[in-house]
Amino acid sequence: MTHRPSMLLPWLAFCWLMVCLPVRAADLEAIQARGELRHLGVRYANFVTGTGDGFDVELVRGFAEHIGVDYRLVHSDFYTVIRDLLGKDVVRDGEQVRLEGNYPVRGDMIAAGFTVLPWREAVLLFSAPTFPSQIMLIARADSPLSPIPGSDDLTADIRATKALIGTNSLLVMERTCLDPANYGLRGKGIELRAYTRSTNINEMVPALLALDADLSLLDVPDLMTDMQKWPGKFKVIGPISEVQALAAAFPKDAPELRAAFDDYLRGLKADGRYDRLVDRYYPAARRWFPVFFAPPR
Amino acid sequence: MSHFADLDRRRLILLLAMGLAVYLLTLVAHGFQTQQQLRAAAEARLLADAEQTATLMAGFLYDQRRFAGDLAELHELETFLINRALGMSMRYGLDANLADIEQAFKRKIADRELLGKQVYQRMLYLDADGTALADSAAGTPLELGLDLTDRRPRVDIDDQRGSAIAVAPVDHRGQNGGTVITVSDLCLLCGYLSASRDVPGLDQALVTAAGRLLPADTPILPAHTPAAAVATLPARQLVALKRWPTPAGSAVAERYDRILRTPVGETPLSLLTLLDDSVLYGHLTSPVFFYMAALAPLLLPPLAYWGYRMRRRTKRLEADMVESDRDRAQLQGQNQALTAEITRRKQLEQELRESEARYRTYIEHAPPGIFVTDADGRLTDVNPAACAMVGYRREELLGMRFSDLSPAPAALASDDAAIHVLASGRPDSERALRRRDGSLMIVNLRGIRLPEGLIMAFCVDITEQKRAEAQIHKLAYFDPLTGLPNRRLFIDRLRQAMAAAERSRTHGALVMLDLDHFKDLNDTQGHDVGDRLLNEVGRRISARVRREDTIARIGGDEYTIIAQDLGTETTAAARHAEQIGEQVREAFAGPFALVGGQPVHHSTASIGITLFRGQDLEPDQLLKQADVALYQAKNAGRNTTRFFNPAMQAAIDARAGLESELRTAVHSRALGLHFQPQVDRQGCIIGAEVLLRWTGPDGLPVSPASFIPLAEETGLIIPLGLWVLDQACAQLRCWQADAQTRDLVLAVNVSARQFHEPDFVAQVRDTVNRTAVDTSRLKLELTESVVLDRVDQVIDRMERLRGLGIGFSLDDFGTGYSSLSYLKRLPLDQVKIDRAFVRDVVVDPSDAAIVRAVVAMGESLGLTIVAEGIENEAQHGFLLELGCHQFQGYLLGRPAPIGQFPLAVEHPPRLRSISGCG
Repeated sequence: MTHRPSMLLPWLAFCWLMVCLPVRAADLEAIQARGELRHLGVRYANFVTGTGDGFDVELVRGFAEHIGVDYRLVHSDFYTVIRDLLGKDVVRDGEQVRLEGNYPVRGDMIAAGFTVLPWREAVLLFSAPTFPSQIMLIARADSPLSPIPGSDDLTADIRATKALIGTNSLLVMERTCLDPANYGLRGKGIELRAYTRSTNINEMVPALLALDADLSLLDVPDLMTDMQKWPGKFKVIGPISEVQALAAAFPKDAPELRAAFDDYLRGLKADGRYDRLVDRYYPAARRWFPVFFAPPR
Repeated sequence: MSHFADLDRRRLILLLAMGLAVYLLTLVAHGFQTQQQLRAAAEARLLADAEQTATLMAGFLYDQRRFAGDLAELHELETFLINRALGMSMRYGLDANLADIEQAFKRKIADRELLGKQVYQRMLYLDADGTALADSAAGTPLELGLDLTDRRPRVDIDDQRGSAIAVAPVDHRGQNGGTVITVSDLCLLCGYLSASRDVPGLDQALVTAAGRLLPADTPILPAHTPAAAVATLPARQLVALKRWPTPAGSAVAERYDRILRTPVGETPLSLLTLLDDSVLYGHLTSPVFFYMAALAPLLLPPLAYWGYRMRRRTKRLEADMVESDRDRAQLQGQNQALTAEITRRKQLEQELRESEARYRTYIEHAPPGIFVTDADGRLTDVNPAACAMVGYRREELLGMRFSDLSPAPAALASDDAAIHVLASGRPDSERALRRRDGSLMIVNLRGIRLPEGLIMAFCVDITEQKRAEAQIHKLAYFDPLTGLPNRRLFIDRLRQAMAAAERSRTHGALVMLDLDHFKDLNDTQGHDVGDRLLNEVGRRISARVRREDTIARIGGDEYTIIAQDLGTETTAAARHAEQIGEQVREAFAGPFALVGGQPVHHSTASIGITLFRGQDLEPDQLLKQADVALYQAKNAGRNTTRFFNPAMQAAIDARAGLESELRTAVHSRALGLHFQPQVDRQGCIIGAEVLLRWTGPDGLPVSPASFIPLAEETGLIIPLGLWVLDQACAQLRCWQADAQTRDLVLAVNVSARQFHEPDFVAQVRDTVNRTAVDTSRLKLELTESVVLDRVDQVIDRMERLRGLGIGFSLDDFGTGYSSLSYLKRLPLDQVKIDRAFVRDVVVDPSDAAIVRAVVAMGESLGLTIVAEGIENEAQHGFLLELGCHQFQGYLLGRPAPIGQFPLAVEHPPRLRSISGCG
């Protein structure tokens, strides 16, 4: 005896719902009821390190304590981290962003040096900025390109830096903060080489040194650590972007969780714990972003 | 001779003194020389200690210089310089490297400590032009005033700020990469001084080339001491302060004796040490002491001679003193011994007096009477209790003999002797004493011997105790009402009589009698009157029997007589016993005047007799035989005498067996109910009578005539009656649930004993409530024996049951007294004519007349008349004609289990089934 197809379909849908519902990302009340906060983190710079600690790990672990639940770190990567949060894949079509497919929800929030970008804001709720960043253009030490001298006019510096790219090949990583589409580098005749061997941004400098391209994009948090790892092996040419904000991201239907996080972050900055976190993981950040870290007036 | 010896001794002493003086002079000279060597050694040690401290300080400053050199090779510095060489801008890259350098500086500062304090206050990295690129304390202004053209690693002393500044050049690929600078507090060096500053009289300080003293709060030099004065101090030389140009009378000159300056390596720093001579040299003896000590040997000879004279004089004085002390100690010892002896004797006398007073008090207040006699038995002392006991005053007793208190003069000598015997250790003795008023008393006497031939006798009056014991004995063995032996004494006497009969092989008889209808007297006249009758009966019987016979009241109205020595012939013994029985019955011939002014009472007795000869039976068995004979006499109509025989015993045993089986049947529910129909004049079944049936263990039915009386007698009728009522109500309830049988009436027989139970009404009420029957269909059948006993109580109960809706039927009417007055008073519904009248009603005109009269009476009183025992058509037809209302008998239906109960009476044919009636 066989089942009629008309009965099979609703049955499968029901099973899918049973599987998905218990792991759906949840707002504050549901998380507190569950007793656990699942932190979606990506191994990146000193935000989430390979040893399981990092700036964002400590930040979210403190948040879990703040709302009275247990903490669990769920590793992801920049390609799937939004899908792991929303259970939907993000598809960018020009300026349009849409969510497709159905996938398991693996976490309740993202905190991984996650850059606030307009297309991301279309599908996610971002907290107040947790850290600054900026995208720089780097070249190997033996590159004939000379770094720009730098001035007080960031726009002019960006323009000068982009002008230096010329016909050189440029290493980028799509769907991350190093996506050239974010900075108007597509369609400009630049030879873009997308790095795909890994989803880890930490691999950009080794790839550059391995001659994968003449130039590469690199964000400042990575830059601060890579300059210590490979001194004299590469050089910073100049800025590609304005100063960006990194922030924690939440599902659109979790406004209370976002509000609780913002409240927690304000307290952290007020009592000095935030400064201690910065000094521990990014001691050079204050000199790079003096405006962001300037005490409030 | 003595004079010459004394002279030689003096010369010898002088000679010894002079030798000792020379020896001492030598010692003093040697000590002076040693003292000088010790002073030189102390100064050398001080110089070495100061030099060591200065070397430690110089080493510390050297470490500063080397550490600055290490900093110049810092990894972060190298990274910065490389990136700068790549042309990276300060804004986009190099600033981050400089921040890393600053973090490295901060870590180094935190890591380096000396004696619990941070070694470095600050670290800086200066560009080649002197611009500070990285500063561990960025934002804090600092003017170092260093000469950066001097590229040598060094340590500069900042005299003004009290800092040690280590400078190290940074070289990068042969180029001037700038300078690394560390800044430390000079006061850190004071940590090396801390140990010496704890010693009183010793102080150390660090002094710069400009004369600045460290630590700043050191008090060792006056504030206005010129730097030049310090600088002019020769290095590494101990200088006496009194030769140093400090103001006379200053605190420094008062506190310290010497000062020492020790340069700290090649730096412009010096270590100043100020100290007191006592600290430097310790407690070395002053030279003046040695000068004075040199004079001592010169004075020694004259002092020795003077000492010799003084010693001789002292010895004489000591000898005199010792002699004097010895005499005084001896006197003192004797005096103390005498005093102790006097005290001891006084204490003994006091204890003796107290002891005597105490024992006197004991005797005076002792409850027993105490008599003290001399060896002749004459009383020499008595206590108040003894006086009270015998009623004499003390003065009267003293002078009397103890035997004077004896009740009889003949006991004089023996009583005196008795006391002596008691005093020799015999146990207590009971004696009679005579009081002064002549009354006698029983005392317990006990004697003990006293010194000087005296004897003390203790007397306790036990008269009351003896009387109580007698009373207890009487209560235990005699009937308090009649004074006759009770059952216990009777059993004992019976046992003795049986033993005697066995010894003598003669017969004895046990006579048991019981008053006829004594219960009626008790119930009607009260127990007082009953007791009087019992007392009088006892008295009369006692007067009638032989003196050697034992009469006892063994309970209630039962008396027994044990007659012994009735001869060896059984027949003669039986005749003799019968005579005793007749005499007893004759004792009841006369009336008993029990209540004054009331009619006399006549009483009779039933008597049972059994003979015994030996101890073949136990007393209880013999008593039972007499009881059986008595029972037989009662059954024979009372007021008669019966002898026990074995057949009678067999009948009793059979009855006991039947009782046992009945008890078993009651508990095992071996009893059952049969229902006999009752019909009306039309032949319709209108109800039934419940009849109890018992099938014995052998499977044969047991006649109700045999087991119902037995059940009444044993009390089994109570639970049995309740069970019958319960079962009957259950059946009635079944009937009432069926429309065809709901109007049937069920009659239940109630025995007299059951009806007179105190809670009978409550039990009936509980049963009908529990079974929820319509009580108008329940009828209780009472016999005349029920209603004639305590009629008022019976009427009250019947009324209460009638209030529940229950009807009453008078069963077996005509066989008893059939008091018409009772019929009028009793709340009856029905009268059942006994079968005895029905049986011959057709042929006996008397029975027919009685039946007719009963029917007429019933109609007059509104009672239903039921004829029972109808066995043939003739009886039935005749009774119909006489006007009986209802009928019951084998003709109309035999008693049968409920399963066989006929709902229609088939015979005679004219009777109709229940469904066809009304």
